[in-house]
Amino acid sequence: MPSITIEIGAYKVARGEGLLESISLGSCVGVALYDATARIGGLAHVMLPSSMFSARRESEAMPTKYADVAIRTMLEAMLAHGAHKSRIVAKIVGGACMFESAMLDATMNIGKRNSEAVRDILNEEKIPIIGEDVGKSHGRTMQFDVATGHVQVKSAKMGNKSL
Amino acid sequence: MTKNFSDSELDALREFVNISTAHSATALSKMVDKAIDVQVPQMRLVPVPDIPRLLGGADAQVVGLYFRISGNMSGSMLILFPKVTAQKLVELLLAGIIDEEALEFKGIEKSALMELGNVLTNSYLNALAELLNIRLLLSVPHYAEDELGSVMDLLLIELVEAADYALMMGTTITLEGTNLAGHIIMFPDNVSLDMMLNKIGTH
Repeated sequence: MPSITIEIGAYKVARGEGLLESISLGSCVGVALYDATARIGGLAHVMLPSSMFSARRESEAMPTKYADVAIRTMLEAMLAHGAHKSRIVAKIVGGACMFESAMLDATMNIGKRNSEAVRDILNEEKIPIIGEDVGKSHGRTMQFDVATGHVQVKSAKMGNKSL
Repeated sequence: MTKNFSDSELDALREFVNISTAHSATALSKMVDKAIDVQVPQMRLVPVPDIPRLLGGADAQVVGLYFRISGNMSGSMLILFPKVTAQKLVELLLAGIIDEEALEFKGIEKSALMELGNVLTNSYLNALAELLNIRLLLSVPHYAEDELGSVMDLLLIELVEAADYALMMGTTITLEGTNLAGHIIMFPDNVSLDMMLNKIGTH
């Protein structure tokens, strides 16, 4: 099945089947939400933690680059397709600090801030995280199979992983 | 994100780049005590999000060196080499004392590349500071090797709010008769880019 690549800062929802993919996640976080009963899934390629502090917020061309907007917009789209919120679970991938020497520099370790923001929002929405591969300092490509809910993580450095 | 840069602005940038490359070639030759030439055959201002595509796609294996610029200008610099090129560069710099089959770079190889990066970026920044008569500081190098897309997404994130264009310099380093091609990319924030073009233009 050909995969559908999610652009950086965007999201997509699919029903029944579909292979959604986020390529080369570094500091960005891929957030997969899934309702297994309705077989409705969505994948967001999040760039930044929060829309709250954006200087360009008013004229924002792609607000779904922010974790808060991305997750909530995607959730609404899934509910509109017939998903039930109580059944939705999440798998999250990415949020690395690619430059290892910058791991302790909070201004540079945006990967950590991204994954923390994603966790907070999912927690607020009461969506459990049932699988994750986040942090460290390697890039990851994530494939999400909407037919099964299976997430495959590929890393040139660390090999493959199933979530 | 549409902005046209005038010929005179680009000519001014070319002049700056030519001065910088001459400086960096001299400094690199001194560092390794071998004849090294640095050329910048291509130079252009490109929209930041286009960079991964222009450099061979998000999944290309690269070595990246990241530096922060501060002082009278802010932004960052990124040096990117395809991984095989970086390997060759290390071999030549370290003259065969490393394990050529090693899959990942270890301490000494990383240090050699970081020092090379230091010399290159400092030459550019010093030339720019002199030309514009401003004060510019550069951070220590931060090293990463992985897929281009993942190495660069921090830059895309940092710049999404501050910068639209980057100065992409295709760079060839010639060492012991071998040409090694990489890219030096300067990401001034929007305010700094305008200042740079204005000042260079009236220079």
